[in-house]
Amino acid sequence: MDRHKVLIGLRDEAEAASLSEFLSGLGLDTITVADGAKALELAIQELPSVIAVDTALPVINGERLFQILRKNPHTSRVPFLFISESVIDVKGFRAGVDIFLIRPLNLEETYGRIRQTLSARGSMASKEIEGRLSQMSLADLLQFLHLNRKEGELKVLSGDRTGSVFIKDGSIHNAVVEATEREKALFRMLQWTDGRFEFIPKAVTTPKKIRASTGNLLMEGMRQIDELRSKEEQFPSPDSILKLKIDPATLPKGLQPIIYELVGLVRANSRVKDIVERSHSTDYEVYKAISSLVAKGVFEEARPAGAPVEQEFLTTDQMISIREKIMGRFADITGLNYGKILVLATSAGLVAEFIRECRKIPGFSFNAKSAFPDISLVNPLGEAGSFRLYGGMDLILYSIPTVKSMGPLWRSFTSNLVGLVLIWDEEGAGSIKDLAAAKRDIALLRRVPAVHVVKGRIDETACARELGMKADEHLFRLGAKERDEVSEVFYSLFGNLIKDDYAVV
Amino acid sequence: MDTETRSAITRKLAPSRFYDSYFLNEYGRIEVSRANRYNTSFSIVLVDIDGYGGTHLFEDAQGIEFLKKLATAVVDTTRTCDIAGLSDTRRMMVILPETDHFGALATIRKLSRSFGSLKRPEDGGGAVFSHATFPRDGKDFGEIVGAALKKSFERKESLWEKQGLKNRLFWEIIGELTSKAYKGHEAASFDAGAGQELSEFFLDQINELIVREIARTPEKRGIMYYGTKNISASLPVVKTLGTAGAVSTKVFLVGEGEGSVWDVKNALPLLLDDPRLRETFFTFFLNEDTAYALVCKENWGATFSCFHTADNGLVEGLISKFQQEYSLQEQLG
Repeated sequence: MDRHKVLIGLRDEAEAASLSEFLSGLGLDTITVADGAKALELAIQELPSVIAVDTALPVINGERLFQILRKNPHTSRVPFLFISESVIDVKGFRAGVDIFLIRPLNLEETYGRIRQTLSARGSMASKEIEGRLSQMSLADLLQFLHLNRKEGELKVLSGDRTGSVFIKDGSIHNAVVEATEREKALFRMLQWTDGRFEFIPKAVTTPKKIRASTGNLLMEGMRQIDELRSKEEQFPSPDSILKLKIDPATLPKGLQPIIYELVGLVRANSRVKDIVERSHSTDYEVYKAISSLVAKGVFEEARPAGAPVEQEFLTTDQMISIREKIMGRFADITGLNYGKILVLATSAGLVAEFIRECRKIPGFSFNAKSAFPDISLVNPLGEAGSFRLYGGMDLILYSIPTVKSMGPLWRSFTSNLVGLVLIWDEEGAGSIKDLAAAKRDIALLRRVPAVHVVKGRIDETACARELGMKADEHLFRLGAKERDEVSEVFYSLFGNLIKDDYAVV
Repeated sequence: MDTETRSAITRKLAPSRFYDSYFLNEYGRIEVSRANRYNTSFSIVLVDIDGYGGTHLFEDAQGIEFLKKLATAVVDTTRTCDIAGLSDTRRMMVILPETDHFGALATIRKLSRSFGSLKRPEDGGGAVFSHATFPRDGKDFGEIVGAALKKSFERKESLWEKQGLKNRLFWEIIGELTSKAYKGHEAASFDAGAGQELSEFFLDQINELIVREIARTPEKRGIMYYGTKNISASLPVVKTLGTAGAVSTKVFLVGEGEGSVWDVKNALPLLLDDPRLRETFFTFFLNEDTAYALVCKENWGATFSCFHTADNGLVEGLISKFQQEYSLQEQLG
């Protein structure tokens, strides 16, 4: 691959020499000039990848040089790095392409910015192969790249999914689809039949995470996809709920690692699709193992596949009202695609229990990739799940520990807040003061409706007084047998939200 | 002091382009109408002069002289389209047409630098800056000024001002923050790690929370510094950034690392070989809505003494100090 060339034109020779030396040490070729006329001559002659110039360069200043070279079709696409003593307005400056840095220069940051511009430009300009998956399947494409011993990144876009396959010397080093990688990601991508692909030749520095040879890998991938399709009816439905029927400590040693992994995952997650998402093994291997563990009585499938389709949680009219209300609350246009509902509780266990209940609501999507892995259930922090409203707006259920020392977190991360769910029980009666303090503090920052959820027997009147419960803050019970109870929590919250009282932030 | 006298003194402070409060209010109202009509933004910057003289600076000739220097510095530092003036006995205001939140921050930095080079009276004469932007902070000029005054009050209450942190070095401030016990909703200390209520993993979760916040609003400008012992592709923050689409927030990873870290998506590595980073790591995050800083010092036995804050003045100050002392670009988004 060609080395990138940087033309450096700076007034100060010592500064130019140190920048040149630094960039050369990191694998870039450099040409140094001391005035604008020489820079103009060499820019046309050498066609550098980037031109780094002083805005106050002698003979032809940096800005004038930029105007001249932008008008020349050969050099019009070369990014400029301006170095100046103070901010000046450069006419025609292309944000995202050109860079403006103020002295003093940090050499690493300068290199980083050059590199960013080069890679952005590289991704735009140096696509070697591109096309549609309907014309050439991913498997064929990977074989072609393998036979030609190519090196680079193959990007695939299908609907709203994007994935990358990293190839070095023709062999597949790794594949990534969102948070999934290795064979699991590759086999998912092999199922995409519609979309676009582009191959960007570049040096692959990612570690080799896929060991199998390309031929074997593709054969195995196609086999697993065929098996998954043919046995779809026999495997548990992605929406099925799994329960562990045995004590994990009784599992014998020496079983396949996937079995221990799945047992661990079922303890923290119950829905099949969440377990499939979180496992490191490929989708087919996970479904196959779950199916076999259900047959052996290790897991119980609590909800049979093919359960009737449930009613929508909110009607379209309700969703539109909520969405309009949220949009009215925020003047900032970028904040319109989501609203947050903050869940605060006297203990982390209550949050986890509440989220589990929420998963019964139709349309609630549990965020398997959220900051809620097993270990964080001790102190749940971040996004737990969401409701998608009409028009692509998400209502996110968000949790932050209630201990007082976490005050800065709820102060900082409650932008776009639209509601508050406060959960308390008898065990946590001692922490009611902390919960009340959190509620008061948040209410000072943002005016939002609140609902209360209690568990077990507790002196509700005293706690309600402590928490400053207002007339429109309803109280619900956690773990009530009526399954609609948890839905009522949200109906109450949304009902209050669309009232005029909460019109202003 | 009656308005007439104040206007007269205002005129004396700077011969041109420095106005009285009546003019500022009228201009501000017109600017709101203009910004509404053309669907643009504008900002105001308030400069509160503290710690010198009595209730106001007009009491003696020295005070007026000092005020004159400040007025000249404001006029010289701002653009010709900006409107500056004296809005109260101890407060100056600059109206910045067509300027967003980040533009106002840049102006504050310029003003602060320009004031820093002035010779101050012996008994202080410090300035506290605050700003507000139309339409995000208010829908009329009164609301905008109210929002800026609220921020000014918060800024004066900030640890940055109260503890005089601006006169200390970056690592001195970090040492101070991690060694004291802070209790409050604005700034608090907590312990994490082995045997503590909060695990070491919780610290990763906080960083991940910030990155998810950045990824959820990719159009929103902001800045994040993540300082750690070693920068590597396996850091949870790097992985989450890698799975996000393009984001407008500038993310910088600070620490030791190898050549391969240059390819991190959505972040810029700043390789820094500083022994202090081996035992202390930090995260600073600032955008229009959110200010958050987390600083943790590693103790013996894999435990961490942490400090975190939502104090805007402190977060902004920490970022500025870090940028100045490591010769980084002075930027806030």
